[in-house]
Amino acid sequence: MLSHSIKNVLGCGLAILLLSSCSGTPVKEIKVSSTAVEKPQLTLPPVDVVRMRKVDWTIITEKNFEEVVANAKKEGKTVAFFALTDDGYANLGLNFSDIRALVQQQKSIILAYEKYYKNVEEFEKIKQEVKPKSTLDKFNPFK
Amino acid sequence: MLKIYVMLVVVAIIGGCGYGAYWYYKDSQQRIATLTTNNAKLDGAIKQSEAAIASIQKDMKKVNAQLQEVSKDFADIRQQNSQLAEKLDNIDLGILAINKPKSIERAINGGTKNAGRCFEILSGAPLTATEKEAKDAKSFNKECPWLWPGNTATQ
Repeated sequence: MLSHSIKNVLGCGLAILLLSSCSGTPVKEIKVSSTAVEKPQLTLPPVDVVRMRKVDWTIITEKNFEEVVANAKKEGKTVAFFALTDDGYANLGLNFSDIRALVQQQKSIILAYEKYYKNVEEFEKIKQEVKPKSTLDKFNPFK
Repeated sequence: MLKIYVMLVVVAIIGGCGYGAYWYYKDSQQRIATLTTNNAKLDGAIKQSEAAIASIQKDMKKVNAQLQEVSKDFADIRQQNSQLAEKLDNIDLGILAINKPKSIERAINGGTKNAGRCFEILSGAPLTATEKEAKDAKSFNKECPWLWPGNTATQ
């Protein structure tokens, strides 16, 4: 009877000891820190430089028709003209002007994007440069 | 015997009150600690929000500045683009071509060359010596005088 009681006490004591030893271990706090990682710089090649081919217009009227044909023959050119009326010519010119305006608008948009995003980077750079140096830093030859 | 019972009851009451006071103290301290932490967190959140708002406001200023600049550019480009239409509206090309075919031929060939050169310059082609030495926008290129490097206003 006595030995049974002793066993019970020892068993309980062991269980308590095991449990209390777990509670004694300090739980370390996990520290999570986040650092902003800069996006890689987008580097794109410049557009190809356009080289416009020579285009020669020849005006043909009722009066000079024969002269123009004769000149073309004399110069060894094929006597086949791709004609435009005055309205057609004006429209062609206006179409080109519209395309030029479109190119200019696109350039303006690209420049605005560049300015907007580069401003942010430059601002950060300036902030870094403006940081005052300590007296020790001023005399430090390695800095 | 009765005295002992009374004493036990009194001790139990005092003990209960003491425990209650202790529990109340612990609970209050815990609440204070929680509220202090919450307050600190809220302070941090407010500062972060204020910084975010300031940053957004700064960015909005930049966005507006760029929008205004691009809108102005577009207005200039539209005005430049309308110049040819106005020029063509003011002349009858057909009649001029009948009367002066050679000079009109020269004019439209020169105009075509200049217009082509505008595209070359826009694509980033280096300027020729003549273009570099141009004293004014018109002598730079009659079709796109606004591309003259010395240009400060819309031509």
